[in-house]
This record gives sequence, structure tokens and C-alpha cells, in this order.
Amino acid sequence: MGNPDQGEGVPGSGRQRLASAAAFALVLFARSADAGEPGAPLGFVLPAWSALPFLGILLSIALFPLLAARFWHHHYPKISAAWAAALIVPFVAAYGSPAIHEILHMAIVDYLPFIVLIGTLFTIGGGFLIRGTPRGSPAVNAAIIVIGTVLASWIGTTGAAVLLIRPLLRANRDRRHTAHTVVFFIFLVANIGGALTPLGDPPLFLGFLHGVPFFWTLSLWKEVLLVALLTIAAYVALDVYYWRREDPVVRAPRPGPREPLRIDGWHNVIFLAGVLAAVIVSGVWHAGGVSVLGVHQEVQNLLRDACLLLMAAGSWLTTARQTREENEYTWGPVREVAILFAGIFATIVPPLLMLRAGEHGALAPVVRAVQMPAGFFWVTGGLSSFLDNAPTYLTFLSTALGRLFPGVPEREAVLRLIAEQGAYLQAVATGAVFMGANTYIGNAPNFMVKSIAEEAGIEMPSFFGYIARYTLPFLVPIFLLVTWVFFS
Amino acid sequence: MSLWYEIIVNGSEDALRGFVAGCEAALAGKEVVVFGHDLGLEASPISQRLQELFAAGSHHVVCAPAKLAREIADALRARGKEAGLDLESIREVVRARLPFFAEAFSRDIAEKIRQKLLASPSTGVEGEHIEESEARDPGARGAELYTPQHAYVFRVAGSFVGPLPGIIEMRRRARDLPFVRVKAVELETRPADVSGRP
Repeated sequence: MGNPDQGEGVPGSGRQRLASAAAFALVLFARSADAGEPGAPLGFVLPAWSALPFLGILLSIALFPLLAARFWHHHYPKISAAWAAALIVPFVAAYGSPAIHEILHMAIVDYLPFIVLIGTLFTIGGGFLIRGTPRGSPAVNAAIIVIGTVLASWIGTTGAAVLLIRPLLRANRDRRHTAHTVVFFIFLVANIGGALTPLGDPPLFLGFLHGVPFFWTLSLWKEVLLVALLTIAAYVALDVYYWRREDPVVRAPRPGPREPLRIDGWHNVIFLAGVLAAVIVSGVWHAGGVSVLGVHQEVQNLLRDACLLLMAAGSWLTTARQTREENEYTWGPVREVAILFAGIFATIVPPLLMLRAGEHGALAPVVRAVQMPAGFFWVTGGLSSFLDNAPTYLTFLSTALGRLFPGVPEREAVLRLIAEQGAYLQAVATGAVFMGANTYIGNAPNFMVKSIAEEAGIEMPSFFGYIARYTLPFLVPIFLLVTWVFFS
Repeated sequence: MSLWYEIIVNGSEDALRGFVAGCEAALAGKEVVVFGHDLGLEASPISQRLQELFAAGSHHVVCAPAKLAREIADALRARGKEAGLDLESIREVVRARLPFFAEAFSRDIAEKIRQKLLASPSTGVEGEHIEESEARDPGARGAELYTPQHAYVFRVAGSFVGPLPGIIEMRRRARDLPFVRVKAVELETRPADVSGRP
């Protein structure tokens, strides 16, 4: 008879090791708690190694899909839970109610609204379906990518990518050279295009939840315009080059009647407008606060989340089932985000507290290491290239606040950061969003687009091939120019 | 079936290509050679390329059918020195081997690989140690953001073995197919004859 634990994928000895590690961490936490001054804020007393579970879950998300994709696919909930438990159990045991309060605060103020928005945008975005098969000429491909780039800020990078990747693949099904088109689609639609509103990319919505005004992100239009124009120009030049090498039969106009372009699910625009209105209103209207499990939450935020859920339900109930089936819509991506971000948001609590403590926290070397806006742009971007860009954004937003406004309450500090040192926030925001395009693991939709393209018969570059053939020659020079123009 | 020969020459690649083009022209282009470099026969590390650029040259492999091989060998013996080319050896190609590997994620592509590569090898060519597998994971259907896993994976690996022209044709077909990777062609050779003349 087999060991029942084996079916769970976590052998008994593994559990024992996990329990031993948690006990060890508990002892260390307890020593740190004893060493701190009574009543000192948590950020001042937490040890630097309490950031390890956060690093662990980010590295798991980055490396498992590359090194053990099948194992990760079937066991990621357990891995996420294990990292969360590795932090929560000793953290709460050592620090008691302040630790519980911080975790609940993160869950109620950040995690739940984040999941509600992601789920809502994904549900509404999945209600649109583009039909028709245009010819994949450079002009048509560029048009699809430009439309996606513009849409990304309004329906999210994931929603825009899901909406447009299949029409783009259909348009190019006869072409021999198509991988570069998918890569530039990832650059622009799945990343760069999402920089203009908090709906566009998860890092910006986290910024919004932490006090960055909704319309502040529109001030990034100059950076977005420069990067998008240069990237699309590079794409068109490359695609024209490959187009001229295509078989003349492919380049010739297709004979016979053409299936016209058509969009099903137009009515979902109404729900999208509802989402936009709810998010904007929650940023400008103050309806007072309530206590949820001891955590202060603004009433307008609760109403916003309720409104978003209503919009999602409206889209779900009014969109034809066939439309979602043809979009291959599943709840899988929302489930993934919900499970993995539960782990991320749990484990990010200590590093954020330490970073906000600035020079007084155990992560003071990190705070001191990044000085100028250009440094924030490249460090946030460099880490966002390999770790998920949402928590990376939050980490460096906190680093900037800890460096410039230590001890100031977060919302007040964010507003002062925008008013007095706006370039820092611009650098963190654009670094996190733009450089998510640098690798397949930089932003969640990247791998999804790669996977869909491969299943459609397109041979995509390897992980390092993507970096060597596209990121280094095309994106990095553009980012250097952005640094020189905006952050030097 | 025509015999093919492997000719190994010491000298500059550009000089050899020009020399061989002249020999092909002498036969009115009825037969053509294949350079080992183009078949992936020779590894060409950067050190070799630099040596070739600044120094005398290096070894190159040329494969040619019998009549053209004879013309090239004779011409190299007679006039090769003038072009800085030395005939090192000439051997008969007994057979060639093309190792390959493919991993695809759609049934359409898998079927295309089966039809164009596995089901109809060119004349005289046979598959060797070919292992084919399909894996289905119904739980991986649809879009995935953080846990990408293909719902269908087709894998095939092995080698094609046979006469060199057939292997060259299989290599061309393989390179036209997406998701198929070919390794360097391996040649099995034997001495041409005592004098080195085919």
C-alpha cells in the first residue's frame, strides 16, 4: 500500500522538513522580536532574512515554468501555500497581533481588490471576439499591434493580448516568418501599452491602491509614446524585411471572397465603461471608512469592488457562451492569479515594512543602493524582467518612499513623492511596465502569448533566444534612450 | 545509385569555393557539390574563422558525386597549389546519418512532421532508432498566465540513415518544417582506392 502523502506530491519527510524550517524561523523571529525596542514599528525590528519567503515565491514563479513546467503546473498551489506558511506561521507567532493586522491589511486593502479587478477585466475582455482573417502584411500586422497597444491601457495587457493574439496568428498563418511578429506583440500589447492607466498593468493598479491618483499614470504619455513609436518602427522595418522574403503567393492578395472583420460582444464595452467609472470614482470620492476585521477600509473602495463584481457578472450572463468557447475562455488564469498572489501578498509584508522604514530598517542597504531616478528605472526594470512586475513595483515604490519620506504615512508620502520628486515614481512605473517585456517571465501574459503561438504552429525563440535576438538589440537601446531623455 | 566522395582540402574556404565552382562549370553544372560547412559537417569555431582570416587557411570538406569528385581531385592535384589548396584525402561515402529531434504542440504540426518526414523518406533512406510519443494533458487546456503547459505535446527523435543525396533531401525537408531540429550530418566513409583516385 502506497504512502497516502505521495498522492499529494509532498512526501511525509518533506512536511517534516517544512515544519522544522518553520520552527527554526520561529526561533529566529522570536530572537529578533526580543531584541527590538518594545512598541517599535515592525519595519524597524524585522530581520532582513524575513524577506526570503517573498524572494522564494518570486523565484518559484520565474524558474519553475522554465525548469520543471509540468511539476509546476500541477503543484503550484502547494508551493504558493508553502511559501506563505513559511512566513505567516513564525511571523504571527513571534510578533502577535501587529503581524496579524499587517497580513489582514494586505489581504483586505490590496489582495482582494487586486483579484477582483484582474478577474473582472479578464471576464469582460473574454467577452469580445474578433472574427475574420485579414492578410498578414506589414501594414495589417502593425495595425493590429497598434490597436492592441492602445487597448491595453483600458482592458488590461492580458485582456488585450487574449483578444488580439488569435486574429494576429490567423492573419499570418500562411507566412513563413512570424515569430518576430509575436515577439513585438508581446513587447507592445502585453507590456508597454499597459502603462497609461491603472487598469492597464497590475503594478499600476497596485500603485492606485496605495494612493497614486488614477489620472497620474496618464502623465506617462511621453515615455509611452516614445517607446511605442520606436518599437513599432523597429517592428515595421523588420517585418518589411521578412515580408520581402516571403513566397510571392503569400504576398499576393488572397483570391475569392474574404471573411470580413467583425467583433462579437460589443455590448461588453458598457461593462468596461462601468469598470472604468467605478475605479475612477473610488479614487476621487471619499465616503468615509469602516473597519473590516480590524482593518480600516474606505467605503468607496468596497463599493467599487462590488460594482466590479456586478460588471463581471453582467458580462458573464449576457455574452453568448459560444463567444467564450471560441475565445477558449477558462477561469484558469484568474485561478492562477488568485492562488499565486495570495502567496505573494502574504510574503511581501515584511519587505515592504522594512523598506518603508528607510534607513531604520534592515533593508537600509537596498534603500541606499538605489539613488537617482535612472537607478530606480533600471533596477525596477531589471528585476521586473525576471520577477513578476507587480510586487517589484510595490517594492521599489516603498524603497523610494523609505528613502525620501521615511516615517511619513504612506498615502501622504505618495502624494508628496508625486508633487516633489515625481521622476522617481515615473521611473518605477515605467521601469516595471516597460521592462516586463524583456523576457518571457517578466509579465504574466508573455508566456501565455508564447504558448498560444506555439500551439498555432509558430516556432518561438527560446528563453535566451528571445533576449539575445529581440530584447538586447531592440528594447535595451530604446530604454537607454528613455533614460537619457527622461531620467538623466 | 551514384557513388559520392568526401574530399578534404586544406586552404582558404573562399578559394576552394571558387575552385569548385570552376570544376562544376566544366561539367556544365550537371553535377553539384555540397560543402561540409553547409551540411553542418564541420564545426566552425571562431578560432578557426580567425585563423582562416589571418593565416593560411584550414581544412574543408567537399562532398561530390563520382564524376565531379574525380574532376575536382584531378584539378586540385594539378593546379591546387596555385590557389593555395592542398588535397588532403578523398574517401568514398558509404552512407550518411542525420540525427534529428522535434517537439511540437499541435496535432496539425505533428501530422505535417509525420507526413513530410517520417512517412515518406527519400529513396534509400531509412529511419534509425526513431522514437515517437504524444502526451495529452486535458488539465492544461486554454490560456495560462503563470503555469504554461501545453495540452498536447508531440515528440520524435532519431536518425535518418542512407545515401548522402537522400540524407541531403531529408535535411532540406526537416529544415522546412517548424519545430524540427537537425544535428550535423555524420558521414561513414572508406578509402577510395590506393591512389586516392575515385
